[in-house]
Amino acid sequence: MLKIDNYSLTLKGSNKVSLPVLENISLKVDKGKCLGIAGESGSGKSVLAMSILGLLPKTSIEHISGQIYINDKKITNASEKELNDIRGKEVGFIFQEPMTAMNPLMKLKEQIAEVVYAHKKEINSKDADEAVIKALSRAGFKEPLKFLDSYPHQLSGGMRQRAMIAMALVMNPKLIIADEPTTAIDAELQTEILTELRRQIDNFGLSMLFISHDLGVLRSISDDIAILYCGNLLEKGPANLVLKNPKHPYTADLIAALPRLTLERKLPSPIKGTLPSPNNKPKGCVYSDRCKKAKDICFNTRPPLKEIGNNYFVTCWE
Amino acid sequence: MEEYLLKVENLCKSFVVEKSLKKKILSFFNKERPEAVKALDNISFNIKSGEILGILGESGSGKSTLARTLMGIHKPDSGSAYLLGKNIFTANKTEKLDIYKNMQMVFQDPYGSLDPRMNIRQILSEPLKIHNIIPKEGIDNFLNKSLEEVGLSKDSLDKYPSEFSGGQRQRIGICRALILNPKLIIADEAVSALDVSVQAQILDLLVKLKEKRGISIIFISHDVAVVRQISSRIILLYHGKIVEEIDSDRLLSDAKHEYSRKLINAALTLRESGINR
Ligand SMILES: Nc1ncnc2c1ncn2[C@@H]1O[C@H](COP(=O)(O)OP(=O)(O)OP(=O)(O)O)[C@@H](O)[C@H]1O
Ligand SMILES: Nc1ncnc2c1ncn2[C@@H]1O[C@H](COP(=O)(O)OP(=O)(O)OP(=O)(O)O)[C@@H](O)[C@H]1O
Ligand SMILES: [Mg+2]
Ligand SMILES: [Mg+2]
Repeated sequence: MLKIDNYSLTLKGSNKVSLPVLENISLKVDKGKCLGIAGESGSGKSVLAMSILGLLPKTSIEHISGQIYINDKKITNASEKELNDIRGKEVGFIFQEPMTAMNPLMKLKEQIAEVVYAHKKEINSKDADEAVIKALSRAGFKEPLKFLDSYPHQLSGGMRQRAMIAMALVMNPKLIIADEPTTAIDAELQTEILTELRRQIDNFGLSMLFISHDLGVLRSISDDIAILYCGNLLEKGPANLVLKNPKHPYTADLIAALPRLTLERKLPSPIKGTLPSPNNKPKGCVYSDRCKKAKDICFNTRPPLKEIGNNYFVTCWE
Repeated sequence: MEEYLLKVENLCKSFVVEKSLKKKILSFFNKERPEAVKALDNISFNIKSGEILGILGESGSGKSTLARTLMGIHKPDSGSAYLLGKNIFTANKTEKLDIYKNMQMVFQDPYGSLDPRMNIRQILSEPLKIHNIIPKEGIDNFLNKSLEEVGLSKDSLDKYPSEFSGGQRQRIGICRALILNPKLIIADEAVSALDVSVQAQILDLLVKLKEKRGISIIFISHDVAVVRQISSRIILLYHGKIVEEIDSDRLLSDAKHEYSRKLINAALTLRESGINR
């Protein structure tokens, strides 16, 4: 359904610095599967998601190499018209920031109906309304009718996020790219929405790329998990294996930073230091300056992507 | 000396549900009363000095409305709230200035809450200007000391928000809230938008601030695990009502209300075991 093949992307930063934000990324999402992507803020998750739909402003791109395919169609050199046909209809997109993606002057109903009209010009308003209400319920809206005429500022944070999910679902796309879709939603609703999305994956062959920093959420929804750091893929494999017995020290540190609900009440442990900026990456392994297990070779030479099991890859000298 | 830092009594706030013109006319002829959402329904609680109070609740339960009403952004329908014995809602202009010097808010959105056209010096010195405060050691020295306290480097003053990451912006927001040395901070989903490692850093920072400065924090979130870790006592909101108040240590084992159990079990599933597939 989605194939990313050795994809690298360099953006133009201020003062003409080159920012290599993605390096040699290879990933794929099969029909009826969900790939979860985790990583710290600034690791390149959103840039990757935007690349898939050709949503990055052309003026900020310095260099692209590698390929992205949706249903065997090359996205990397598709025209704007081809991309417009794909967006919303074949591929649904849930944006990270609902407030910036929603029009503050449009009512909830109109925001979602707009997507319907864009792809089905001949549809009558009754059918469009019905599609909107159905999408809202699927996105976890308890009383969709009550909020149809509300403006974004009159909705709570979690309702705005559910509105974004409804927008992505309304055309029944075959692939959904979800960028942190449930950060503002409580656990009960999250469970409901994740269960519903998982049902669509299992029963209707929906494919999904699900970005989140919450590894608990990713375990619930994804078949495979990829860990991104500093524009590099550090670990990629079956979700249960990666989470139970992480092979990369970074994955282990991410898991330790997750607030837990175990009996003992203890603050999670933050990862020391900060993510290096894309134009200032360490010479060896990109995680070497923060890694508790780093040895000499880690500081000097980039480790290659190693296959360590069936469909399981790690980038580490260990 | 007052026993409580903040005391909230019988606070109520409802919103009228937006309707299309057609529905408005119809309900006028049918003599229906406008439909309302009771966002806060008779809320009473208090918080002591140096305490972190957690507020938990599902989406739409009224958490942000509570924060915004206390901060004077919404007008309450009824009820009262006292900070150090002064009623927030009936205070006059000068009294309000003093109240909000002691009570500051940290917002959810690290992207939208800082003006992108102002540099960090301007952002941080705005509250000082409003309150006519001139630090004796000079503005820059004072601001740099404050930045250091929240873990930001000294060369930050001339930079703009866009040059910082989400976690750094949240630190700037916390720094701005701390500038006037308040006694109470209301943090509404202050870490929800941050990745787990930055989230852990900010939680660590808030606990240190409590210990060092003795400030109180109202920590609002929908994340059961985060609220349980950081606060000593927790209030659970449901449809604008307080349904349970409990010590964090006893939350998992002793929470009684049906709704609290549901929220806790859902969080346990999601964090610790994964949904059934
Ligand atoms: N339009 C742009 N121009 C230049 N640099 C950019 C642009 N968009 C993003 N970047 C840079 O690319 C890197 C990756 O950013 P990205 O937004 O993909 O991170 P992310 O993993 O989604 O983080 P978060 O969890 O905070 O959303 C960052 O260093 C960021 O500063
Ligand atoms: N300005 C407003 N106008 C009309 N209704 C509003 C307004 N602000 C909030 N509401 C309504 O009040 C209720 C409570 O909203 P509030 O934002 O306080 O919830 P919350 O607990 O913060 O939820 P979330 O976790 O999703 O942020 C919701 O039904 C919301 O639609
Ligand atoms: Mg992002
Ligand atoms: Mg809220």
